[in-house]
Amino acid sequence: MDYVLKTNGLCKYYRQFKAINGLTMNVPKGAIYGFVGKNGAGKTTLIRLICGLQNPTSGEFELYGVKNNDKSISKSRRRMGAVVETPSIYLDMTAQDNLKQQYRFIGLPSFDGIQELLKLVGLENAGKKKARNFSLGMKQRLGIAVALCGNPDFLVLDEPINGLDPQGIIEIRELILKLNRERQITVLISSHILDELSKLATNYGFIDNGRIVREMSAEELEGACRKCLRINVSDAGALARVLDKMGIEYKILSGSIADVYGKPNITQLTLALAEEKCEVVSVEERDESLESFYINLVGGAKHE
Amino acid sequence: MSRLVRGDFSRLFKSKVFWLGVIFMLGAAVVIVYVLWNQIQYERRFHPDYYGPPDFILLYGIMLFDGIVISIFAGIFIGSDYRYGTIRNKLIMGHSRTAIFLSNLIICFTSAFIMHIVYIAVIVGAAAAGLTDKFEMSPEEILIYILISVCSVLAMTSVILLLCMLIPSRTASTVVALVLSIMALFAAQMIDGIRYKGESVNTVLPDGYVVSHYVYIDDMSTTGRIIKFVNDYLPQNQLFQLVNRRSVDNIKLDKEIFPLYSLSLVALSTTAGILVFRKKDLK
Repeated sequence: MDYVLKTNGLCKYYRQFKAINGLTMNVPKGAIYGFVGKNGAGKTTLIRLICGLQNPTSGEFELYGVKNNDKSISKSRRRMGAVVETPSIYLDMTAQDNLKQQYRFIGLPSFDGIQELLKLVGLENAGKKKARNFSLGMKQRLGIAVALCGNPDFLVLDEPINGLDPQGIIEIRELILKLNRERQITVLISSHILDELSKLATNYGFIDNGRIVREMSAEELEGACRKCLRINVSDAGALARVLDKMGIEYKILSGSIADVYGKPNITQLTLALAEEKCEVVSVEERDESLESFYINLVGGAKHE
Repeated sequence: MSRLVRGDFSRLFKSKVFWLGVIFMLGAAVVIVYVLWNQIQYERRFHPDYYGPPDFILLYGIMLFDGIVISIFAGIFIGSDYRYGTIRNKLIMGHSRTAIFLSNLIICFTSAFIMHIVYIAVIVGAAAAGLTDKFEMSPEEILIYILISVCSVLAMTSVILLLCMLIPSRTASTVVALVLSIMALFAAQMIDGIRYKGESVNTVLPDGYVVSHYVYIDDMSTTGRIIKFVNDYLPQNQLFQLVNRRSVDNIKLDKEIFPLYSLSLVALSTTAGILVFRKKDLK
């Protein structure tokens, strides 16, 4: 698998405080990588390191195969765009002037693509309005447009939906999906709003105390968070035989417990198990949300 | 780096704070010319032969206002990149920190130079147009003074830029640079004053006139050397000395060395600035 970003034992200390502590993660090419963690977990610090705003204390990362201590890392960075924390835009300029400014810094010979970019982010009608008068959603979209000026194939978005109203959240979500699907842009998106991330991400990295505690694909996460019936029986083997006959998906967790996916008819299941001389001790509906999955992952009690 | 400079220049010429700085220096020059013109008219009522050359005002406004105006300009212009987070865009798109620092230095130098030239153009233009009397200095001398003062202002600008690049808050950097400029203004007068012993002697000239001289610390003494070096090295002190154009007794105006000192200060502050900025954690 091709990776856009790989980090290896990355650390960033601010005096005694370990903001990033041996972080290892891999962002596959073409993915929307949801970078999940509570406030202060180290999400923004990692993004700052990748963007070159800060230098790691130790460890390393690779951007398109180029190591961070390699001189050509700045060339690799030209392939990425980022919105770190707040959108990086000149508030005393219009949307168009902001993009023109970015084009000049990049050294693009003409301003031809600006209208298309404004249309892409839905700011084609912003006119002569200064960015300081934009709504938060508009500023966020302009920030993304600025990040897209260099036609990047890796976009880093730090908490892009923070503070947005529901309409703004939908607009940003659709924009990210569009960029990923239509332009094949790999997106690293950090957030602590897990439900929103679950509507976008194809891969996840869960960060806690400056470390990645788990990396997984959306399919794996879906599996882990699937609705199921947790059945406690006297003989899990008998349960497996019955479920096989009924064509129902399941997962044996121990000699007496299994998670059963789908919605089996409980009466039929109980009768079938009785024929196998297997007792049903308890049936419990489980619906693990992304939040509870995350809390379980990072140790909920620790955060209470 | 050329892309950065191009982009920053485009922003500079759209910057209100830059044009306000230019207008301020223009206005200051007009007011100073008007005050001199007024004084000449007044004196001529009683002394028709009164001669009021504009030599003193050639750099007077520069000495008084340049540091303050550049501090406000650089604080706001450079500080905006921090405040709006746009400095991040420059780094993310692959520009090196050294290039960002040098580009800002070029922008600040250019702005300071334009403000400087606007002021001087008004003073020289007023003299040429006959609004004030002619300069006592020869054109070559005027040019030398202008060139030396440009170097002093650039040195001052490089120190102001250093502060603005290392203090990430726009308000804080503006205030610090401004306070430093005002302090430098007073310090220039104070340091120069230290050289004056507070005594005066009278000399009888061959034609019988009696001329009074101030007595200054001997430049060759250790204290004198230190004070002279500090006075000659600091850009605001250079401007102060250029305005007063003193070269009397054992006080020598070594203005020829000023540009060398100014360039060394530019090199020193820029090197230090780049080294610290390269290691600086940005948000």
